[in-house]
Amino acid sequence: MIEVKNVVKRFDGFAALDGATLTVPKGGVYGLVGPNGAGKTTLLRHLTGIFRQDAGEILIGGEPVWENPALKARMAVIPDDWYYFLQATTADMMRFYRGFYPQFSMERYNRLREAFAIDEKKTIRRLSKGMQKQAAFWLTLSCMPDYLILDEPVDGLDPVMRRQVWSLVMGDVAERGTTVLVSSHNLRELEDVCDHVGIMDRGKVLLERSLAQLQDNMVKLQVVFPDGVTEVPPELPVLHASRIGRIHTLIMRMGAREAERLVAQYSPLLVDAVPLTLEEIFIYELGGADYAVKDIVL
Amino acid sequence: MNWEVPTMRSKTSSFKGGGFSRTLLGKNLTRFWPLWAVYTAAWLIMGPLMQLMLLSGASAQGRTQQRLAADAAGQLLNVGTKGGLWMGVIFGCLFAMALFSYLCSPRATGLMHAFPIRREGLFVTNYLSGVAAFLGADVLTLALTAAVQGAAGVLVWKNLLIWFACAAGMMLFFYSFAVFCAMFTGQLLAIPAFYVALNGLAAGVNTLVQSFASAFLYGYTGGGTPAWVRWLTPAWKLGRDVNTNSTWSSRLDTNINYRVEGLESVAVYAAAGLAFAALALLVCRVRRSETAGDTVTVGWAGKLFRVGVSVCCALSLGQGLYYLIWNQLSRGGNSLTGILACMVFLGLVGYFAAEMLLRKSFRVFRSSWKGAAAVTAALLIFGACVRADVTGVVARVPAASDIRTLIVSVGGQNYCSAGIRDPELIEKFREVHRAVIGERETMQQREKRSYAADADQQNSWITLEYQLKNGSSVRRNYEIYYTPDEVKDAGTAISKLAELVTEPAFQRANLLGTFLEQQGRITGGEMSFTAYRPSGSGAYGDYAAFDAAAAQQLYDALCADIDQGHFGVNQFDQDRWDQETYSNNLTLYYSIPGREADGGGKEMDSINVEFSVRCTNLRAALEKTGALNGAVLETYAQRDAWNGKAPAEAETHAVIGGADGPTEILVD
Repeated sequence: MIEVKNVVKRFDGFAALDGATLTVPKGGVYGLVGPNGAGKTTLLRHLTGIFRQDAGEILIGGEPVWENPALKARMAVIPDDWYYFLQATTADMMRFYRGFYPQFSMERYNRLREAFAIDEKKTIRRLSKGMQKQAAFWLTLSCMPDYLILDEPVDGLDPVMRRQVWSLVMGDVAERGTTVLVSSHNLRELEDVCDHVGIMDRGKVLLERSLAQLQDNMVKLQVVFPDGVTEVPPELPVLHASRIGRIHTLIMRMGAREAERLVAQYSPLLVDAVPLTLEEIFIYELGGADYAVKDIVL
Repeated sequence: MNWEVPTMRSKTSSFKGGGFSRTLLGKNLTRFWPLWAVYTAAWLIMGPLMQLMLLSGASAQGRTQQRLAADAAGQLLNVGTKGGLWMGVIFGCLFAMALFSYLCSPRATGLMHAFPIRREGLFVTNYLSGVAAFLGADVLTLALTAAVQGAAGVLVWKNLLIWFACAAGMMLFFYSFAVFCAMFTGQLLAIPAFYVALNGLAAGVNTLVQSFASAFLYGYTGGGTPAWVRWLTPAWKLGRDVNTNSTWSSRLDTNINYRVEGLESVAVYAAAGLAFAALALLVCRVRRSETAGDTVTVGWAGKLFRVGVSVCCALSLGQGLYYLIWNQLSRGGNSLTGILACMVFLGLVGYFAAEMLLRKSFRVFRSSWKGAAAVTAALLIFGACVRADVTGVVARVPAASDIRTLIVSVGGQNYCSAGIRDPELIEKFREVHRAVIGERETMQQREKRSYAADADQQNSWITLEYQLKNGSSVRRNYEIYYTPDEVKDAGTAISKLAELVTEPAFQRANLLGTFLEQQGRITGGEMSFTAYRPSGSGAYGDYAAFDAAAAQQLYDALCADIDQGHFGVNQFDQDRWDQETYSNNLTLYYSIPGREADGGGKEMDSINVEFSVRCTNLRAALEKTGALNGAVLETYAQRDAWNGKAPAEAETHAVIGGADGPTEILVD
């Protein structure tokens, strides 16, 4: 289990993390989402022992991660800007990783060669961005991590390779109980792989739930009010409302039944509850936190 | 597809709880091989290759085995001392830059710090990678040099080990110091900048502060370079201390008995290198990963950086600007206001520039004005303190009991300089020193007036260097402005000085020097003069020579005149000096028993004496030698008078004798 408790991190007075708290259950796949500058990458760098928090606690498997090589030997990370030595080939970096990670598996490395069509003898800087990302996955998964921290992991990969790497990661989760924390802006993909989601903004985790809970906690109603009612009654606790013709679309933070009960008081002609996608939840949750798509007239 | 495979523990893993990493060591040694190769190649050229050329090249032909051995030892030790210093200074920094470059890139720092190894483990491994690289190269050079010398039959292990100690010791220090510097910055190019700045900071600031103080403290000309400043300037200290000495052998026609001085300094700096490495490790532990790319990575060091850059800019560029501008606009002494204005201005420029580097932004003025104001206040207080002489530098005259030697130099009509140990004479000069300090305001006013070309005012100077028993020294230099009447006024500093320069003890030290008086043996002499051609075609120099016996008589007469106070009489009276002092200088040669010159013979030296009509003993001795037979010595005033005549009117003026026969002196 990964636990982040009230972590604070300031850079020159600016609080990049301002009491961030999250919990990733063992064997879970946790998607960390949030707008640009929310503090996701900063949080991941704390989780991988790169940064040290000013306050708060970070525990992985009950142990603090800072300067804990035994714990870090069971973790692997793919940052959004993976570093490799200037003249290094994938084979060179493999030897380097193998020297640091005691669980590094050559059998897996050799097996994964089939999955990643990369010339091991070619310097990594000569590879395309997507192939460099593949090399990072190849090495990271060969470390046989118990904890996998991924920051924008499939950025730059083609759709086939995206499926490939997710398949590999999910295979590890299923077979070895690997705990995965992934930060991404690709909410559509996270929706497919994550069982838990946390939404970050301004250095805080605004909410974290299982995906099912998240979807149960917010509903999208399509409503047609009776004649004479042209506006949404102000008493309704609506996060967002829009209208096309007579059909009002209402986003409400509650279960579908309760939302339908509330709307029923106004004798609607039609009420239909539609599940929200993760992207819609992200947009409407952050809309409540003053982060929404603005109508900008150019 | 099931990708799961049984886990095989990595056989090459060096994971041992996050300490030293063999993997990283190996990566460092292979990754930076060009740097190690250049270092090794440089030593191989300076070591075994140069030895090979010396011992088997064309120059070795015809040389004896003894001479070859001596030459090989000399070359090896010279390379070890001087080459070792430069190799250390240059490669020490390059090694540190290479091995700790990962701390200057956020991406690289992220990778290395995410690996299962502690910060200490990374530091120790990287540091030892550098040590292993230079020690490996040094050992290889040692082995190959030993092989070359062994093959030539001139192998001396002691010299080889001294070479190794110099090369490795100095490299250890400079490398460790560069690593220490690297811990304080997250920018690669800032590492050599910090390294060079900190290597020369102590000497630079010492010089600049003394320069500032000497502009405003009456008589202060700087306190030299204290020992602690030399120690804090490693390249300079090692360059001065670590030298090769030898003895000339006429028989072998080469230097022999080579030995290295200053090995203790190498040992001290090598130990300091280890201390710097330990300090660097401590800094590494508190250094934050997110500072990769920052100019300064440790909070308190950032404050030091701002203040340091500001103060250095104020002292160096500020003073430079003042002398560049003020000297063009003003005459008549230094202006505290002017120099402080320049220093504050450049100090503020330095402060804000440092702030911009730290914040990576040009918008720093509003947020950092408090610090800038504090630096400005500190500079003004510093200037005021120096001006007010809060440490009592101006009034300080060392206690007589503290003085070992006093070296006095006096300007005037004739330059006088003497090292004095006689307590009575030292006390008299201390009295003069106090009198000069007492006339400070008068002197400073006259100095300003001197730019207005005051005809009634003359000036001279005196330098007093007290070498104290505790090893330190106090040096003062005073410009003395006086009127001719004051030279005779018993209460003035100039009159006291005028009286003192006629003291036999002072003039003996001035004219004869220690070696001549205590050990020298007169071997000959000559007297120079200028002759003028009757044809009007110009002047030519000539001289009269004296053999050892005649010269000894002149020397004895000279001593008698000194003892009777005939020398130094008109030191501060130009007119009388010109009227009474002969333009014909007397030179006496002497040898120093027990001291060999470079050529193998006895070391020779000479004294040159300007004497006056008052030197009756010397005149009598000159007449006795026959040198003045039919000749007339001419004073400066006479010579100047004759110079005014037309060359066509020239006539024979004097003929003086010498060892090479009579010489005709012609004047116009």
